[in-house]
This record gives sequence, structure tokens and C-alpha cells, in this order.
Amino acid sequence: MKQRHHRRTIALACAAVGLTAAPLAARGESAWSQSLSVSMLHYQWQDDAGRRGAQSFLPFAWQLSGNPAEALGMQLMLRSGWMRSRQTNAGQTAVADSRTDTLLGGTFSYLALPGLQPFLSLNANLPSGRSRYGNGQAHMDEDVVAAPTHGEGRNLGLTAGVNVPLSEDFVATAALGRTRRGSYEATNLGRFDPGDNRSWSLGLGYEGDSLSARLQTAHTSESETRRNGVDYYRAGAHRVTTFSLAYAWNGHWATRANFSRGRTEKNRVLVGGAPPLVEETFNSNSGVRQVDVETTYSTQHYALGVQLGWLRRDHNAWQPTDSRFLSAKERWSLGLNGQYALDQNARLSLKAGRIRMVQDENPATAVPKTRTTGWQFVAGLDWRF
Amino acid sequence: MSAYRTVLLIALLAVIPVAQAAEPCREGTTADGRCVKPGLAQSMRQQAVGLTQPRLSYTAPPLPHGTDPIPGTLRPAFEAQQFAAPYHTRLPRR
Repeated sequence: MKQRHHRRTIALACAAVGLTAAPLAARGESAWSQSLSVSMLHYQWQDDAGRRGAQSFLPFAWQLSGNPAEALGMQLMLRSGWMRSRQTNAGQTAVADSRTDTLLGGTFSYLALPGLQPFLSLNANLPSGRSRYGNGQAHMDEDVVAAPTHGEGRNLGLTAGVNVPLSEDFVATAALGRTRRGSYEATNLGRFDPGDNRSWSLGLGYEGDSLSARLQTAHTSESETRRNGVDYYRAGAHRVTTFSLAYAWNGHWATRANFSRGRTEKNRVLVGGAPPLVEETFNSNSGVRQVDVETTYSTQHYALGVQLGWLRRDHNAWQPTDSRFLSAKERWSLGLNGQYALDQNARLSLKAGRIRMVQDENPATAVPKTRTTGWQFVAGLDWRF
Repeated sequence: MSAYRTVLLIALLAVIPVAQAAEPCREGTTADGRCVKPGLAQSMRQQAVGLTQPRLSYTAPPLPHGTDPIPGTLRPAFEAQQFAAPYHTRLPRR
């Protein structure tokens, strides 16, 4: 019954997008473009303790961008997909197979003010994916696969912000956001009602002839998460900073680098399984740093590139439920990617990458160092029309 | 199920015939009236939306395809560890 309701909600949402977009598209006097992207992502991994897993993800996205009026910019977006997750441990295999959640959203910009372009973005995560399956074995580490779960609740996000072009080449951005997250049935947890979020972000971007750079920082706080109607924990405030740099060496060669750092303050958790929530002794949220560097050779019709990635969690979480401190984790990845322009508007992309991850030994629990290796494959088709 | 697919198909087909035309200053102007670079303005806005709605969706964040944020840096791993059974934390070793 609930599945049917979700399908109806999504079908109505799709129809609403179509009905809204059709007359806008039919106007034709402004610049409009649509894009459709379909990908196939496949991840597989195994570790030196004999555990292994795989995840296949088929996401698609449709986007309409344009100007319904001279002073108004608009982007509408629909995203969804299908996912299959499988994990084997000690001879037991768990499999989950379902659609994923669906995103429906729109961003609107007011463009008539010189030197100031405010925008508003409203997005909804519609729960078309499965949020509870098996005993949790088919949920996997998001440092190895695309997503740790196929679905969650009905979430609504609203962002109000402003772009301030300081010159033709520099744009500063400030934004405030609020995300209201709905409850859902979660594996191992029963009725799970995740906390709502409040966020702000600041950014500065530069785009020159051969160099472009982006620096952005954001802060997110979260309200109490409840489980089966009772306070369960309150996630600590989260801060993330990202810096990206791209440089075109000449007409064919270009290098891009992304650096990001995330840090979360201590959670408030149950002690002894009973309220009230109190601040945890150890910070259960790892600090994480990630660097990705990619160099690409491109011509008019194709591009080939090599990508190197590094991720480190300074500690991989404290588990208050079983009082375990999990050791630091480091992941390296090396990939090759290629793109081919099928015609002026269609582009095929392929990527294959190898990952290697090491989690340090944990003296407290006598768990030895664990090494994980895996592959990531991505094939995608982007079509603009 | 078939009704769902039909509505989805109609919604997508309804917007296919789109006219395209070049438009000056389609992302607005600077204070002195020069055009803002569209790619720069769009990417700054998109990233701001992604950063201020970081926990909207595990599988479909509010960003164009291929520009998804780095999950580990946007969302603490704690929540996923509650309902998942990450292979390196909870499953018994063989």
C-alpha cells in the first residue's frame, strides 16, 4: 500500500514537471536546454579476511535549464535509479535489489539586479527506494561503494542564497539551507526519524582563460534523531571545506585537483540505553581528508585521462553501542577514464579504477590490520538537446 | 506499475521539443554591467545548494549528474553505521 502511494507520488511529481516544463519549452524565445544522463556504475571489493561484496547502480538524471523570463533563470531536475547490493561473509550472502530514491527539484535565480543574483532552490527526496532489507549485511561501506543504502524517507530541502559577481572572473556565493528529513523503516533500527539540518555556506570562485579555482566552506547542524519515538542521538555540527583547481596547459592537456576536509564535533548519545542524551566521551565521527588529481588529454572528439585519489579518516568511528574504537583508514585509488563525442550533443564516457584500502590494527580489540582491494567501473551517456 | 511508467514517459516526452537560442548575460551582470560567466555562476550556485542540503539524499543529491559531492566529507559516517553493517565493523571474522 505504501509502495503504491510512493509510486503515485512520484508519478504525479513527474507529471507536474512535464506540465510545468512543456509550456515553458514551447515559448522558444529564450535559451533552453535539456540534458539526459544515464550511467552504469559497478563496484566490487574483497578483503584479506575473505569478505567480499559488489554493488551495481544504474542512475539516470534529467535536467531542464533556461530562462522563462529575461530576469529569471530556472533549472528543474529529476534523478532516480536502480541499485543491487551483495555482500558475502563467512559463507553467507545477502542481496538487496530495488529502485533508489527519486530526487525532484528546482532552482530559480533572479537576474535583473546588477552585481547581485539571488537564488532559491527547493528539492525533494521521494522514498522510491528500499530503506530496510535483510539484517544489514547488504549495506556496505560508502568509502568502497556508491551508497550505503538504497533509500530513506521523504526529505525536503530549501536553500536561499546569492551570487555576487565581483568581476567577470570572480563570483562570491553565500547561502542558507534547511533540510527536513522524514522518518522511515530502517534496517536494524525500526522506525528511524533522522534529525533535521540547518546549514550555511560561503564560496569564492575564479575562472580565467586557462586557470579556474573554487573555494567553499559549509557548516551543518542537526537536531535530535529519534528511534521508535524516543531520542536516539544528536549528530555533532559538521564543517566541510573544499578547494578545487583546474589548469589548461595548452589546447589538449589539462589538470584538475580537488581537496576536501570534513570535521564533525562530538555527538550527543544515549548512555546505558536511556535518555537524556549526553555528549559522548570520544568523538565518534572521523575527520576525513580527500584529494583527487586528474590529468586529461583531449581533442575535439575524445578525451583520455588518468585519476589518482587519496582518502584518510583519522579514526574510523567510535561505536558507543559496543564501546569500540575503530582504527584509522586510508584509501588509494587509481583510474583511467575516457570520453568520446558521439555527435555534437551526445557524449559517451568510460572509467575503470582500482582501489586499495587499509584499516589499521586495533590494539583494543586485537583486530589485525585489514586490507581491502576493489574495482570501480563506470559507463555513462550524456545527451544534451 | 504501467500507469506510473506511462506518466513518466509522457512527462519526459512533453518537454523534448525545446528551441535553443543564444542569450547574452544569461546569468546576470556584474555591478558595472558586464556579463557574468555562465559556467562559473552555475557551478558556484550548484555547489552552494549541495553544501546547504548535504543530507537530502544518499542516492540522488540535488546536483547535476556527475558532479556529486564527496559523500565522506559531507555527511558523517555515524548515521550510515547505525543501520548498516559495514563489513569492517560488525560482521564476524571468518
